[in-house]
Amino acid sequence: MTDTQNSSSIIETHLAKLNESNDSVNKHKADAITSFMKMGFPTTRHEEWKYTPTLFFSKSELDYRNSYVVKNSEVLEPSVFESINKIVFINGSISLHHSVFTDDIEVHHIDASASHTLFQAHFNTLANNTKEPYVAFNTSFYMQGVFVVVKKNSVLEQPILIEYHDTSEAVDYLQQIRNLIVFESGAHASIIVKHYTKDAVKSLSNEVNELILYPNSHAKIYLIQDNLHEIQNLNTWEIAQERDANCDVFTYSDSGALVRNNLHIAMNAPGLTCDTKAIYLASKKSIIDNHLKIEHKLPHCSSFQLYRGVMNDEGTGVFNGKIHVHVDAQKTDAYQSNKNLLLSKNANIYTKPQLEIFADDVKCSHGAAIGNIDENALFYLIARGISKATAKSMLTVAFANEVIEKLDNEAVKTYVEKAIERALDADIRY
Amino acid sequence: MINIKNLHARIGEREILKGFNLEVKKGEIHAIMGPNGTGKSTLASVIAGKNQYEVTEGSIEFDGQDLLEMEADERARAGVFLAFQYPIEIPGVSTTNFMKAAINEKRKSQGLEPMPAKEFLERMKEKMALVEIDKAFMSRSLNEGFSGGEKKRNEIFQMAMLEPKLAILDETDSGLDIDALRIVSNGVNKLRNSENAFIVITHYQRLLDYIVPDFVHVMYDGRIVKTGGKELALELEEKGYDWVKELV
Ligand SMILES: Nc1ncnc2c1ncn2[C@@H]1O[C@H](COP(=O)(O)OP(=O)(O)OP(=O)(O)O)[C@@H](O)[C@H]1O
Ligand SMILES: [Mg+2]
Repeated sequence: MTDTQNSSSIIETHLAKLNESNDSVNKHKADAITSFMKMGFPTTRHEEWKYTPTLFFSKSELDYRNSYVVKNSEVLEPSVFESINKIVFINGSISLHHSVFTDDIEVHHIDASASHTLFQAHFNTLANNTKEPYVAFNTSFYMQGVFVVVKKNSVLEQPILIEYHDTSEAVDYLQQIRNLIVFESGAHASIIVKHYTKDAVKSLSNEVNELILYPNSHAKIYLIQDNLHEIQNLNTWEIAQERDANCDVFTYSDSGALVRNNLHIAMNAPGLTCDTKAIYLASKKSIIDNHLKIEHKLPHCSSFQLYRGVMNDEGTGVFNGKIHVHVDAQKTDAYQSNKNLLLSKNANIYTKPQLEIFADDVKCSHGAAIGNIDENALFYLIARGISKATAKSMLTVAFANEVIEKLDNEAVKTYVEKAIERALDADIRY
Repeated sequence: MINIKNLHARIGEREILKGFNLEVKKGEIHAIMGPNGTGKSTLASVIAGKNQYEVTEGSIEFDGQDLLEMEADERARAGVFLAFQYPIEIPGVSTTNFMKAAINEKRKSQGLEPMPAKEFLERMKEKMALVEIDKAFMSRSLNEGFSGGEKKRNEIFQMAMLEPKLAILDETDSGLDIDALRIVSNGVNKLRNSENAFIVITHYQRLLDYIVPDFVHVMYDGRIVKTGGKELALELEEKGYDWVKELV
C-alpha cells in the first residue's frame, strides 16, 4: 500500500457504515475488517508468507467497488473444456449472459443469497478471518461472487466450469471474488476453475471459496492456473467434508507473477478420504506458493497429497503441507509426497512438510525431495537423436506424469500435458 | 564408415583411452574383446558423444564428417547408434513415445513432417516381431521394471526402429539366456547389409557364433593390442587375457 493513511480512513468509514446495519452479512464483514486491521497485509517477515512478497497494486481505495460493467457483446476466449454448466466472470464481474446452467444446480449472485437457508447456514463459516489476512480482506471487501448449490442426489456428467476472463487493459486493479459452494447430500460433480487472461492484464485477484460437502456427496475440484501472465492470484479453498463425503482437489499452476494457493480441508467425520494433487511449474520470475492443510478430526480417515514442482529460469516454488491429526483421529492414514525438479541454477524451491500429530495410533508417511534432471537419463534420450532441449522437456513431462496419470478427467489430463509443454516451450513430436 | 585415429580420452584426471585406432568399413562387423575396465564402454560413449569424457588427442571421422565436432544428438541423427551396456530406466516415458520423438526429431532436422501414424505403427509392428518383443512393453515406462534381458532386447528394438549406419553393441549379450541371445543375434543379422556396419563389444565368444565378425580386436589399457579373424575369439576364450597383456 502506498497510501496507508488514506486507506485506513477508508476502512474506518466503511466499518462505521457496516456497523450501522443489522444485516448478518454486514456483521461478518465488520468482524472481518476488525481482524484484518489487527493483522494488516502480511510481509515476508510473516512465517506463512516468508517467500511470497505480495501486492504490487497501488490503489489507495481498498474498497474498490466500482466493478467492471459487463457488456453482453463481449467476445470471450472460447472455453477449453466442454460443459452445460458454466459460470462466467469478466474482470471480476459475473456475466449471466455468458453463463449457462441446468436444473441440477442453483446459481445465485452472492449479494442476492442472504435469504437462502443454506447460505445463512454456511456463509463465512469456514473462512479463517482471524488468521489469514487476505481472507479477512476478502470477507471485508469482496466485490462479487456466486453462491452455488449442487442439488441433492444430482449426478453431473459434465463439470461445472467457473471461468474468470481477465480482459481489462487496466493495470493494478484488484478483484476480490467470494464464492460459496454447497454440495447437497448425494450430489456428485466436478468443478473446473480456470482463468483466461489477456497478456496485458496486471491485476491482483483475491479469490476465497468455501465448499461444503454434505453427507455422501462427491466433489472433484480442478484448479487450472495457466497463462496468468502478470496476474497475482491468491486463491483460497476452505473445504468441509461431512460423513461419507469425498473430496479430490487437483491444482495445476504454471504462470503468473505470483500464485498463492491456500487449500484447507477439514475432515469432519470418521472414515473419510480426501485426495490432493498438484503440479506447479514456476518459470521466468513466477512465484508459486502452495500452502495446504489437511485436518484429520476423527478416526479412520485417509488423506493423500501428491505434489510435484518444476522450477525453471528464475522461478520460485513453495510447498508447505501440513497434516494435522487431532487427538481423536486414531487410525489416521496420511500420505504426503512432494518432489521438486530444478531446471535452472537460478530457480528456487522451499519445501516444508509439517506433521502435527496428536493421536497415537496413526500412519503418516511423508517425503520431500529436490533434484535435477538425471544426466544419464538425459544422455540416453539424446543418444537416440533427440535434442537436449526436447529431451529435457520430455523428462520434465515424465516427472509430472506421476501426477497426470492419476487424473481421472481425460479432458483435464490432455489439457495439462499440453500446458506443461507450452510452459516449457517444448516441441515434442509424439 | 568410421575411422578412429590415435584417440585419447580422459575422465577427470584419469586417461582411459590411450591412442586407440580403428577403421570400420561399410558392411563390416568388428568385435572388440578385452578385460574389464580396459575402456570398451568408454570408447562407445566417446563415439556416441557423452560429454563427460574429454578427448585430448586424435580424431574420429564418420561418413566423411568430423564426429568430434558434432553434438551427441546430431551424431545419432547422422546414423550412430549405441546399444547401452546398462540401459537407463526412464519412468514416465513410454518406449512408443520415445521412438516417436526420436524418429520425428530426425525428420524435423531434415525438414520433414512427423511420420504419419500408420507408417509409424507399421514400423513398430515389424520391428517388434523382429526382436519378439510383446506389444505390452511399448506403452510401459521405458525399461522400468524390465528384466536385464528385456532391456537388451529393447535396445535392439530401438536400433531396428532407427536403422543406423553404425551400431555399437556394448555387451548386448551379457545376461541373455540362449533364446534371447538367438533372438538378438537374428535381429542384428537381419538388419545387417552392405551399407551399414557394427561394432560388437563382448566378453564371450558364444555371441560370435551367431553374429560372425569380420575382425576381432583385443583391447587392453585403452588401446587395441591385437587384431585377428574370428578364430582369435576362440583363442582368447581358451587362453584368457594374460598373454595379451604381455603384448603391451
Ligand atoms: N564416470 C567415471 N568416473 C571415473 N572413472 C570411470 C568412469 N567411467 C569409467 N571409469 C573408469 O574407466 C575405466 C574404463 O571403464 P569402461 O567402463 O570403459 O571399461 P570396460 O572395458 O567397458 O569394462 P567392462 O568390461 O567391465 O564393461 C574403468 O577403470 C572405470 O572404472
Ligand atoms: Mg563396459
